[in-house]
Amino acid sequence: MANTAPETIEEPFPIFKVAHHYLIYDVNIVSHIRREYNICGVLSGTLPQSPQQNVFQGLPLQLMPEEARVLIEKGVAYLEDDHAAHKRTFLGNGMSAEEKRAYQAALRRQGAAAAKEAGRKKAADKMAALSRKSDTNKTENWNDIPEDMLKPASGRRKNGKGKKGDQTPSDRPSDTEEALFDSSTPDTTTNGHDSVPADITTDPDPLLVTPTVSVPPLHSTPPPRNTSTPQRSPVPTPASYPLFAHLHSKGYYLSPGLRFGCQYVAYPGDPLRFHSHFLCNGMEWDEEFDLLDVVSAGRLGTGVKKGFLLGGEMDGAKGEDGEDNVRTFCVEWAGM
Amino acid sequence: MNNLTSHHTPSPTVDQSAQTNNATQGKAMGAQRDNNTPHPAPSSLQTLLNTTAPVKSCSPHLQHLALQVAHTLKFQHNWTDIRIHYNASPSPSNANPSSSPLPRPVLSGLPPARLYTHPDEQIALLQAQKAAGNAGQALAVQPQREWVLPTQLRERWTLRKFGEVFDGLGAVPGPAEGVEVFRRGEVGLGVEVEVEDVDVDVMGRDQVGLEEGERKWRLEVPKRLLLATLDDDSTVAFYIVHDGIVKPRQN
Repeated sequence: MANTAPETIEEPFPIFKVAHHYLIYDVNIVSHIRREYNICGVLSGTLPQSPQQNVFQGLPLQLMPEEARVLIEKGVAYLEDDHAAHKRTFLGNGMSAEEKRAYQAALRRQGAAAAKEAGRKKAADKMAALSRKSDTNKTENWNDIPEDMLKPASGRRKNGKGKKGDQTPSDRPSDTEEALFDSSTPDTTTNGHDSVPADITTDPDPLLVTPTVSVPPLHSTPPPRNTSTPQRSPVPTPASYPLFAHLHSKGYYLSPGLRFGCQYVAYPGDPLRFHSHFLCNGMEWDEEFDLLDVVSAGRLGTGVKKGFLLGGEMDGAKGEDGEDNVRTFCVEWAGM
Repeated sequence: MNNLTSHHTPSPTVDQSAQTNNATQGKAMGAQRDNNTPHPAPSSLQTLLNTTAPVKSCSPHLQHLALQVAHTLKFQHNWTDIRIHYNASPSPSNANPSSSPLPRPVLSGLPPARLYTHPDEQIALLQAQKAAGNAGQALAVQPQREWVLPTQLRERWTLRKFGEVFDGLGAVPGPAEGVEVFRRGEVGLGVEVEVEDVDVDVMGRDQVGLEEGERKWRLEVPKRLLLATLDDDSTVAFYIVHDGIVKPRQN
């Protein structure tokens, strides 16, 4: 990663919303937002066969709603609602007739290409099997083959087990099938190593393709930028969002705080290089909390060499020069 | 304000009467109790509460809460020079502090040892020590006066309350602020030992008791106070609260 030149990322990039999760599928964007915008997210992709294996997870990257909102409000990302897009395009008849034709043609092309590829592979396998057959079986008379097969193994296969399976040496694992059916092609010449059978040079019927992705025909387009009207954030966030944005603007890396019983864990730099400094809880300015929560979080934080940081947005107008209005308090055990 | 200081100092006779009360009660033990049996002597804490005059700007339960925390600081943590502050500290934006009461009384006091050292100050001290060639020894730091915010565990608290308290406090408790609860050299209620009057001006200390090298680490960092949370069983938990983002100590 470090020695390759960073990919240029086209901004704004899409954040995909799937079932109220905010996902990023592109590894280049993942490294880009970590490098440029202090946003790590959580890799949440598992192997389909072993979803319990969660030590090394991969794409997609899941963002907290706060992270998605910060990126969107910075103007470097936009939200793409997968559910709405699918509904609109496929159920709501959102595709024009021309688009539909183009898509169907593309699917047919894909199917034809797949069929051609399958046919070519089949033919190549057949040729390979036949050539092996002709190499090992010296007899030119193909009518002898059945009698040959009934005989015990001879020649270089003398030490074999003498069963039918021994025609499959370990270095040629794929020829069993072809060897079983080679009698079905008696008319093929034995030394036709390079010749391609005539029946597959013509296009076979296209395979029917079931698309597994919807990226064509769906495509994400950034919304038109209108800076004049500040619209409501498309990402619903908890009341702790002002604290998140405040700490993020101060350069902290924030990750989910479940492991420490708080909302966010704040790192002074990249979490791979730094220990975290704070367990953070954000709340509204007049939101009541128990002092017992302060004591327990302060004690837990001190126990793991962190401070407990709580904060929220003061009421009143926003400060001048774009400064936010968030006030924070740090709690540490006094040791007495 | 000054009448409070004269009020709160109990006379030695209080202690003597307490002893006689204990003696008489001991004799009455096991015998038929009658209405003439004197009450047990009030506890040390109750005496402190009784002998402190109420303050108009402060509700009694908050004052008693502060006094109880002060009592704990004095007798369980050996703090000295404990003062109770009913009014906001003077500040440039607050010309007449006596007219702006704090949301609740706040204490200030001098702990027996330094309560809090900023992590960067600690690094600076260690480097200075290394340069002086006596690395490995304990850091020689003087205690500093601290603010103490008394709270009760069953209170519901808000960020606004923290903000209001911090807004009323200066970075360091000023020398003339507040009302004395326990003087320097006072070892018990009404029992005093003679201490030589430690002049704050000696040893290069300024009027709030900070040395030259300490000023930067107290006045230019966010304010701090000691959150003292009292439970019903009179346990007090102490937590340091900073008015801003202060990285944690590496302890």
